[in-house]
Amino acid sequence: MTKPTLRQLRGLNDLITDAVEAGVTRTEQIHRAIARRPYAVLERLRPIAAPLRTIEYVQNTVTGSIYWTIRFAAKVSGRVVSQVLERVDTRTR
Amino acid sequence: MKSAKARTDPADTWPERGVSILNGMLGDYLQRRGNELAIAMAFRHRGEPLALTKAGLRAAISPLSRKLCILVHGFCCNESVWTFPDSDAEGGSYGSRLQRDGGYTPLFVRYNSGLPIAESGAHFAQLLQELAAAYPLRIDEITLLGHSMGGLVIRSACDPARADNGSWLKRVKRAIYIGTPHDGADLERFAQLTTGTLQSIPSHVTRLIGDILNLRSGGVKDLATGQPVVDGGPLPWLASARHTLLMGTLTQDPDHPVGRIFGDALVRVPRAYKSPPTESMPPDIVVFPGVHHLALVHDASVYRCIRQICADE
Repeated sequence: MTKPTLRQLRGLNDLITDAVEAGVTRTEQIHRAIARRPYAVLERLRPIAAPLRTIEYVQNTVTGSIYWTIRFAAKVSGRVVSQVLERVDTRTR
Repeated sequence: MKSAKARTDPADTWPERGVSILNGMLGDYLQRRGNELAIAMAFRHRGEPLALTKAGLRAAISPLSRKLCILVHGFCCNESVWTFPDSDAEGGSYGSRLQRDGGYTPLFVRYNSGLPIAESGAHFAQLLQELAAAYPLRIDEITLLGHSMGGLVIRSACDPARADNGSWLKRVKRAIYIGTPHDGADLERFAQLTTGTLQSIPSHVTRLIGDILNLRSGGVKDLATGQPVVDGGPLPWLASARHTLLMGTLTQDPDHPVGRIFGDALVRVPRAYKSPPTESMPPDIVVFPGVHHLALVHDASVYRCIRQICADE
C-alpha cells in the first residue's frame, strides 16, 4: 500500500466517524422532537401529567443511552481503524 | 478495458477522482477538521506535487520554456480532466499540445475546489508567486487556462489589488476561461432556492433534507454569483491580459431556445460584456455549438481555438 492511499484511508475513516456522529445526533434530535408530540397533548390532562413526565423521562433516558452507545461505538471503531492504519504506516516506512 | 494512457495517469484513478469529488462537496469542512483528504493546492506532475525549487522543476519538467501555460481544473475535478479521451488519436491534453505546437511549458494545478473561490484565488496567487521565484528561466509570458470554477479562481488570483501579487501578474498575457460561469450558475441558484424553501417549511423532515443539502461546500455556493466581487462590484478584468471565454451549447444551433436556456448543460453563454468604466477590456466570447460542459475541456475544435489565441501576439 502506498502512502497517499494510507493517508486517504485515514481521512476517509475520520470522515465516516464524523458523519456517523453528526447523523446520529441529528436523528436523535428529530426522534426526541417527534416523540415529544403525544406527551405535549396528553400532559394537558392534569391527573396523568405527573406520571407522564416520569414515563417521558425514562423513554428519553433509554433512547438517549442507545444513541450515546452508537456514537461511542462509532468513535471506538474509528480509533481502532486509525490505530491499525498508524501501525501499517509505521511498518511500511 | 482501460488503455495504457489511462493506466499511466495516476490522477485518473477512482480513489484520486473520489477524493477530488469529496473535496468539491465538503472541502471547506475537510480543511477545517484537518482531515487528510483535504487537498492542498499545488502544481502536479504525474500525480505528485511538484517541488517549487529550481532543482525540483528541472528534475520534473524537460524541456523548460520561457512561456508557461497553467491549467486550472473545475469543481470536483483534478488535472486528469484535461486528458483527451482514448478515442482521440492524438491524445494528450491542451497543455501537452501547447507544448508541442507552441513551445509552452504546461503546469497543471490541483486544488480543493470546495474552498470559497476567493480563498482558492489567494492560494493560487501565492502559488504563482512561489513559481515565479523558483522558476529556473526568466518567464516571458504566462497563459492561464481555467475550466469552469478554475476560471473564477484565475480571475480572483489576478486581482491587481492583492498585496501578494508580484512579478508574475505582469507576465500574464492571456486568460482563457473555458465554460466559466462568470455570471453564476443556474443550478447552484436553484439549489439555494430549494434549500431555503425546505428549511422554511416547519417540518422536521423537510428541514433535515434542507440541512443535508446545505452541507455543500463554500466553493459550490460561490458558483451562484460567479465572478469575484470587490467593493460591491465585479472584479475588473486584468487590464494587461487578453481575456477569452470559450463556451459550449448543448444544441448545434446556439440560438436554439434549449441552447440559450441550458447553455452547455451547466453554464449559459453570457451576453456580450459591456465595457466597464475601467481600463480593462471585456473578454471575447467564442461559442462551440454541440459541445457540453465537460467535453469543453478536451475537444479538438476548442484546442484549435486556444492554439489560435496563443499564436496571436
